[in-house]
Amino acid sequence: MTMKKKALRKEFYMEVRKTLNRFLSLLLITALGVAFFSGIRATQPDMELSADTYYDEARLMDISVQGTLGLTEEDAQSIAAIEGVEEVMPYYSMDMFGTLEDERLNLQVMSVPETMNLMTVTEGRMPEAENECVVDNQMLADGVCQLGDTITLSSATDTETEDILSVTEFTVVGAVTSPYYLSLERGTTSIGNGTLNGFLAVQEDAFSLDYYTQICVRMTGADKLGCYGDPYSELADTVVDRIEAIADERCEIRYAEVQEEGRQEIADAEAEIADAEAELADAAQELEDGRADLEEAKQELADGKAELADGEAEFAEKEQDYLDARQQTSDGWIQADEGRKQIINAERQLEGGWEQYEEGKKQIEEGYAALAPYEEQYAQLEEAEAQLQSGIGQAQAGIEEVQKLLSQIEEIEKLPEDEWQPGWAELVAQKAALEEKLSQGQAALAELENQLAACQEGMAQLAPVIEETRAQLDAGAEELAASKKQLDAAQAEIDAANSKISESVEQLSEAEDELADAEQQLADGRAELADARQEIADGEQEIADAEEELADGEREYADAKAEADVEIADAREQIADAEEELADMELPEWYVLDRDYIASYVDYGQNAERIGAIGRVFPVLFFLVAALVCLTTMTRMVEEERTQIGTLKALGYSRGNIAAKYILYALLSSLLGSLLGLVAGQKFLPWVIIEAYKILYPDLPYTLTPLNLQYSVMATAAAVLCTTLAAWAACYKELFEVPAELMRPAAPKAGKRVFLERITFIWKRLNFSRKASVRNLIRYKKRFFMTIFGIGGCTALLLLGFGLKDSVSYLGVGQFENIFVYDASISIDTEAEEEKKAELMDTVASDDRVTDGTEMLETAVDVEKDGVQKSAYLIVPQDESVLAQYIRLQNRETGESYELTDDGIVISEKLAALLNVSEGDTVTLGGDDTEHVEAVVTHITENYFMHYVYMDRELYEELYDKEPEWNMLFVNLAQTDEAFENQVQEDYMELDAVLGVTFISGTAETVEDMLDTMNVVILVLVVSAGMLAFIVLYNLNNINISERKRELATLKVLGFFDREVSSYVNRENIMLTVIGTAVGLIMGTALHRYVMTTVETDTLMFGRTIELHSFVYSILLTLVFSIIVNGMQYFKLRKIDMVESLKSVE
Amino acid sequence: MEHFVELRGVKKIYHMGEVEIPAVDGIDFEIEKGEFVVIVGPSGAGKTTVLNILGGMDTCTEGEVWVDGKDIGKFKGKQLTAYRRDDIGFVFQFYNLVQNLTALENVELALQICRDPLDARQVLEEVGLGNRTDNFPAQLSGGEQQRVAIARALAKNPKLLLCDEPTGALDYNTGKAILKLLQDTCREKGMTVLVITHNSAIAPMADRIIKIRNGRVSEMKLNEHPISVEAIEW
Repeated sequence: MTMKKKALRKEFYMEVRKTLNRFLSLLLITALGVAFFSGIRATQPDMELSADTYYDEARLMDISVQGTLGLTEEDAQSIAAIEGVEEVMPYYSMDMFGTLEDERLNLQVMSVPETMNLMTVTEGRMPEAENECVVDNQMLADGVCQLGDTITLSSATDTETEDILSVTEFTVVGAVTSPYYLSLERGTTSIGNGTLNGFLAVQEDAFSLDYYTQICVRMTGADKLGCYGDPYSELADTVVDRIEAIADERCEIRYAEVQEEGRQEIADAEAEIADAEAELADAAQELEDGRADLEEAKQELADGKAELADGEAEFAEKEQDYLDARQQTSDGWIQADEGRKQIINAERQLEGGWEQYEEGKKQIEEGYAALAPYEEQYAQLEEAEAQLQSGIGQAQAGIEEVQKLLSQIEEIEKLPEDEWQPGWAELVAQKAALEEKLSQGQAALAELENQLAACQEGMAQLAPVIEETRAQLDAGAEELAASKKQLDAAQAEIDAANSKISESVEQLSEAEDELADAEQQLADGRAELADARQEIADGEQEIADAEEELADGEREYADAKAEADVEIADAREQIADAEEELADMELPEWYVLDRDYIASYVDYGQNAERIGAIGRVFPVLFFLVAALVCLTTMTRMVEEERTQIGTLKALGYSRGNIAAKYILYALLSSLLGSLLGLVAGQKFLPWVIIEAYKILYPDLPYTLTPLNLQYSVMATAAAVLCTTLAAWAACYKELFEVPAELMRPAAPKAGKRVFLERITFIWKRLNFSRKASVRNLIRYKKRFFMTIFGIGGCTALLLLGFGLKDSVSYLGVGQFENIFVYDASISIDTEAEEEKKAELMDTVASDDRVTDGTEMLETAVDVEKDGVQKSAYLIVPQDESVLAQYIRLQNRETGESYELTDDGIVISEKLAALLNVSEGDTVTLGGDDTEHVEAVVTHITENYFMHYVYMDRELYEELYDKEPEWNMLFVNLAQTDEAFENQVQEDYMELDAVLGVTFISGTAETVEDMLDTMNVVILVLVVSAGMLAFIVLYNLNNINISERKRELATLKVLGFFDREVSSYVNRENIMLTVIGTAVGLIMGTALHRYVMTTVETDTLMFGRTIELHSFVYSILLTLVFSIIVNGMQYFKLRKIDMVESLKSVE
Repeated sequence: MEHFVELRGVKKIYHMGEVEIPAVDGIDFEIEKGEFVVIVGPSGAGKTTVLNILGGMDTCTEGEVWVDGKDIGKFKGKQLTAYRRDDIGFVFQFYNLVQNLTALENVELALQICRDPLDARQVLEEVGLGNRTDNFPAQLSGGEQQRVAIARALAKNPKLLLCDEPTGALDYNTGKAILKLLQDTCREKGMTVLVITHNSAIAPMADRIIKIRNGRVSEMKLNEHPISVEAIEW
């Protein structure tokens, strides 16, 4: 239907431009509808795709095989050979206790998966040694442990730790995420308090298990399938079936193996018993030997004592000898001293002699000394004499020479002067000098001769004196020599005496040395004796000890024997049991599970489905409202142009040409709107919601929001068809009227009495304008229903949004404020000693902070009815009369409280619904290791989170034939602020009997955090609903005004103020809004009920009621939108020209 | 002001871009209280514009419009609305009844906003619809609908009853009957009635005839002996 006619085409463009508001509002409303529809719808597949992409990347296993007796390498190979199995990975996984600085954790310990379930390191590195491990990223985030910590692992079951792990202490070297755990939840375990704290992976070599606990399987071609889709499930089912098909065969083989192992073990045990008996016999023999040894030792001791006596006598003798010798030596010393004294006297005398001698000697020497200068003087004189004589000789010789020279010179002088030789003149000149010299020499000679005479005289005087003195001195010297001889003789005598004494001293010294030796010997002897005595004493002690030991040994032996006998007996019994067990051992069973057993996988899938469920209801309603608005708008548009259609028809344009304008108008606006909405909706909404869910699933790395072809086409087709068909339908009706009819005004709709008028007592009470409004409302039926539906739809959406929030929030409030009214629960270590438990009870009783407390049994139990089985917690209170202080059992609707009786059990509401159980029915309770019992359900109690079965103590004893083991202590506290609770927790964790302290406030918070993500979804819904409400109201109002322009203009002419005109119209709008809101509330409540049941997962029950304030909010929001739109309308009304009233009816 | 209604130099000029289009180009006339006035003129002469200005639905560009001593030419917005609601009764060519209200209710619609209304039922009886009060417009004939419209206008007890081609959509006899009603109303109640029509044949029934041509009053004459409408044929 292309428009070939140029004028028509131009007219079309003009129409779009002129009515841009309408065009845009059509476009926008389509965009909103399509965005919301395709966006919310696409969220589920987008969420699934995001997870699937991650799972494929991390190679998450498709199937897990577990066996009750473990699995072997051969099992893995057999599975690998199955068609459809791409690869297998056998590995170890075990829930164990981990100890970290006194804190005990429940951990899933596994070998590092190498080819599947690939872990992503977020911090640190993977383990490279046997004693290294990586931990759950979440444990790091929660501050449970840090890199570098050492975690000690220990078995939580009967199996010995060393049978599981070859290393038990591990250093944390890294943190990882695992596709296995997408969410924050780590799930439950059968060990400890039942909550897993996280996982821990070590190298495969660190395991010492002799079998694998699990075989992971990846299927061929599963990568290509979306894991939450049906083809995937079907493929998984097929492969699971195939694996199950070989299970029996493999189980038999495994059975035989284990049997063989068991028999081997029994044989070993028997050998051990034999060994133990032999050991006992050995011990008895040893005791006997010990006794003999003791006797021998006693004999030896007696001998030793005799020897000691002998030794002591000998010693006494030796000691006497020594004392004698000592006496003699001291006498010798006295004599020697005497002799030495005499010698000293003689020496003193001798010294005097020598002194005199020295004196004499000295005098003589002095005499000689006095003589010496004289002799010297004499010698000098002699010398001087000699010199003088030689001087005289020389002087005479000199005089002769000079005389000779003079004579020569005289000779020369006698010669004539011309015979003179050269120099002779000189010589003659010197003649006077020589004559001088000659006279001098003669004078000196005379002098010297005088001196010689004096000298000779002196010598003559000295010579006799010197002679006499020398004679005297020589005589003195002779006397001295005589006395020296005497003195030397005395000295010799003294020397002789001295040497004699030295000799005797030497002898004495020698004697002394001997004595010292003797003394040493004595000392040694004494020491030896003492030692010997000590030895004997020791020996005696030893014997005493040995006797005691022997006695002990005998006693021990007796005890050990008694014990060993018992043990051996036990062992025999055990062997017997083991044999019996082996005989009784059932064939092992394989559990072949697909991904549905991975909690976070399922959980995530359910969340996606929940959004999907919302997506099935919300957007449809939304879309319907949007479509209706489009429809009305298009119809109105055609009606407005009735005259023009008539004119064109009259001019001879074909129907197609005329209709094309409207159809194209609708097509263009809705198509553009759809495209806009598709992209905006599918990119934005899923993104927002997935991002919100990432709070719960922080390890999910992807947010994929591809355009979804199916929903895109579906939404676009629906939107375009809806709008275009509306246009076509509107045209169709008009086009088949004749032009004349068309150009005449459409017959105005007749006024009618409304049913309300028949109820006169109400009608009478309405004032005039109300009456008019009521009648107007009913008159424009199409608009009435459209507006009611539009407004109602918006209110319903708003209410649904708020209601969802209420219900979701109520889960926390209902469960943790109204049902669980206790403040904290303390897990009691049932293994702890009685006194430790008593200590806990005393502490609780005396603690002011704890107002009251009661013990309960809380344990996991499977509840079954007609083949449907659900896991629940069984709670048995110690004192059912106070149960209501901790947990309220009540009917959700009537609020009636229930009491526990021994007639039967009380089960939680959702559990009852899932099992299709009503009061009075009988269910089967059981677990893996507990017997199955049947109980009658007496009441069904309000409960929102998890499933619970409450049982009376007497009934428990009757059913299980044993006392309940109280493992929980529920308490109420004086305060519930965080600091207070932390202190309480800290104090109680110190008690040995306490495994853990959990506060309701903490649990409630966790649940609330979890559900907070719903808020984002709800916000999206509320905002969208609000936008829709706005557009719908605006659009409908526009239509209303344009339809009634004439009437409104008339009112104006009649003198209605603008205010009055708008209140005339608004009154209708308000009525419509009120009615629409009321209808919306009903619709919303119904929708809410439907959505809540689809959105819930198995373990959750959301609140079923919408809070009053949500009704209020929904109403108020609708009213606010209505008021805003009406406010905008006021200006539109003002613009209406009164001249309209004069025009003929179009 | 001695006259009940007096227009002095009233002009209404529409501006279409640069071009000035005078719809009314200096109108002067006066009407006395209790007169039955007919304004005649061909289509496009400006008689509707005059009616709009006089009825307070439009304002004049220039000139004075005196009604009962007030210059409504100076009125704006609210004053104009108040003038319409208190002083003017309007009868439209196409009746402009609210389809959704009964005859009685259509009258009441006007009454609820005015200060000193007459009794609706009584007015309806006076216009001859005493037995059709509870009928909806769609159940009434054109003439009957126009009677309702007149009743709606009269019930307000206005100073001035303005009628825009009141017989335009009616057949000859019905038209006559309506004109008779208007004339009777004028005579019996002393109501000042102003009828606009292009049909000059009915002019003789008026006390005052104002002819308008090209936006001006071409002729105004007083009719000393108005004849009864029954006597007029056209």
